[in-house]
Amino acid sequence: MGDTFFNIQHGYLEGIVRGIKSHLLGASEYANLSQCETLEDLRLSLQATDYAPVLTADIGNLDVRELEDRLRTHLVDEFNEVKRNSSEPLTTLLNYIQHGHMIDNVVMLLLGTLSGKPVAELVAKCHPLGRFPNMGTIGIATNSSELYEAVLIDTPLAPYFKECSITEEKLDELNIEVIRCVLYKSYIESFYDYCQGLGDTTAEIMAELLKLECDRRAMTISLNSLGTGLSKDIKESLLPARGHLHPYYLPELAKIDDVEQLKTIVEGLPEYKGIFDDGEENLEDKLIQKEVHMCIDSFLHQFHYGIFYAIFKLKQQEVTNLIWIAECITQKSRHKIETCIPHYP
Amino acid sequence: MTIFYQLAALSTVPYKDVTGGCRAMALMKNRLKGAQVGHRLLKNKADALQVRFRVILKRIIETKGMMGEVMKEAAFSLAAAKFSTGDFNQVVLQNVTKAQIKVRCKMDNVAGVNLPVFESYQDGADSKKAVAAYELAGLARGGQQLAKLKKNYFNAIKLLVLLASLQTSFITLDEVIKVTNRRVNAIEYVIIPRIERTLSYITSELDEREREEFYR
Repeated sequence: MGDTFFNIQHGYLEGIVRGIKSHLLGASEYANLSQCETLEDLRLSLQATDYAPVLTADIGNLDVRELEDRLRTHLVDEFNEVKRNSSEPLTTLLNYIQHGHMIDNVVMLLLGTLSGKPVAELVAKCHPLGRFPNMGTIGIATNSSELYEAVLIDTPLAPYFKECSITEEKLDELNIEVIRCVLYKSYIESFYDYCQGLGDTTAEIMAELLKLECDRRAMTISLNSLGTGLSKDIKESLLPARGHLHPYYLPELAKIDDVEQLKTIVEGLPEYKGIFDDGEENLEDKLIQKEVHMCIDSFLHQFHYGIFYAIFKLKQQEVTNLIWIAECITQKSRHKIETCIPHYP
Repeated sequence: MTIFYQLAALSTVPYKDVTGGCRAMALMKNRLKGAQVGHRLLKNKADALQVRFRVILKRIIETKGMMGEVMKEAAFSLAAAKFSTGDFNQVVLQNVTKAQIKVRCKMDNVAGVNLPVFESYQDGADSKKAVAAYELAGLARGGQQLAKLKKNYFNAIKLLVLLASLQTSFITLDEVIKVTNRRVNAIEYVIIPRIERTLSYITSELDEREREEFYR
């Protein structure tokens, strides 16, 4: 029944998003780009793609930073365009996408305020997707209790702060990376639950995408925390409890002492069979690859909101890829381009 | 070349203030001996410095060669870390409280010359919090890349400090060698010939006196 009326509200946006998707760079474009000798060549090659208006000839000297800025602005513009035209429940979903970036920004601002840097300067450096109106107020707080009572409560992230019960005492003593992970965990769980509430295809598609995200975090956190001073309890409280690894494997993941144990646990799941085939160094690359595939596959279904999540994931990955190519070109290591970029159809 | 002509011209001028006499002769002979010993010593010092200078030059060339590679690798690992972690610049910047790697200056003595030697060391004492912060950076994403990045830049900094140390020694040594060589040359081409001429003047004067004595 939901499908019947989908187009009344969201047909236009779905059209736009599918349009963006059809202009994503494919394998042949990436092959062309990796042949470029200079950034100028790169710019010319991109003229044939969706990025032509972004990289007009008025850039005098194109460097990686400039490229990054422009690509990111382009992405944010597209996002805002979609968001402006959206109606519920899509708006909430798009908000959720932004919350991920907001967490990064808030954490950065917190860190900056604690070390006494001017906030205006920091706000300028925040990721544009994660901006929210009263972001500058974080700097007003002089100590952590003020920060908590007056400022964080007013941000869109307040529910996450509340849910994971980060009280003012904890703000002081916990490591900022730990806080970030806790927030992210509660964010992603809430996002997952929201998508499940939407039901239908959306629930189905988003479940797969978010489960991957949860598991990715669980795996990388447990891998990267090997050899650090994090206790098992803290570790377990960082792992998002919605993925395939939940509920049976998470406590085990928190307890591992070396990479081999992680491998045995993860390889036991049919979803992640063979993910360690190239060694654990390539785990993240493989997961990115998997995510890209799942995002592209989500376009095979119609009348659901998952594509909105997927398209911005894909776009972000594309920007990252382009920056990587540009970096490789400027640093004269073109042979390494292909090692990191996921395969596109 | 001109400096040598000038020196040669200088050395022809004998010490005017000496009056001929046995005592003056003995004095001059002592001075000659002193000048020769000083010349030998300074020459040895100059040679020792020269040897050290060559060694440092060789090491500078080696280090500079390595530097290129190491810096390239470090810059590249930054790109790789950015690829997997996203923009983490700010997070790291905001985390910085104190320098983790510090430089200590020691003196090394080569033939009486104090050469500054820089030594890098990790400040483990007060930076417990900072270390922990970096340890957990990239916990959720790109931790391995960040670890690699840290290692590469650590190596790069160590090399940079080494290079700075070598360069400073190089400059100091260069100056000292120049001064020492100037002294050696001055003794060899000015002081010793001058004394010799004075001696021969005194000898001729004594001879003259003797002849006068004979005719009286």
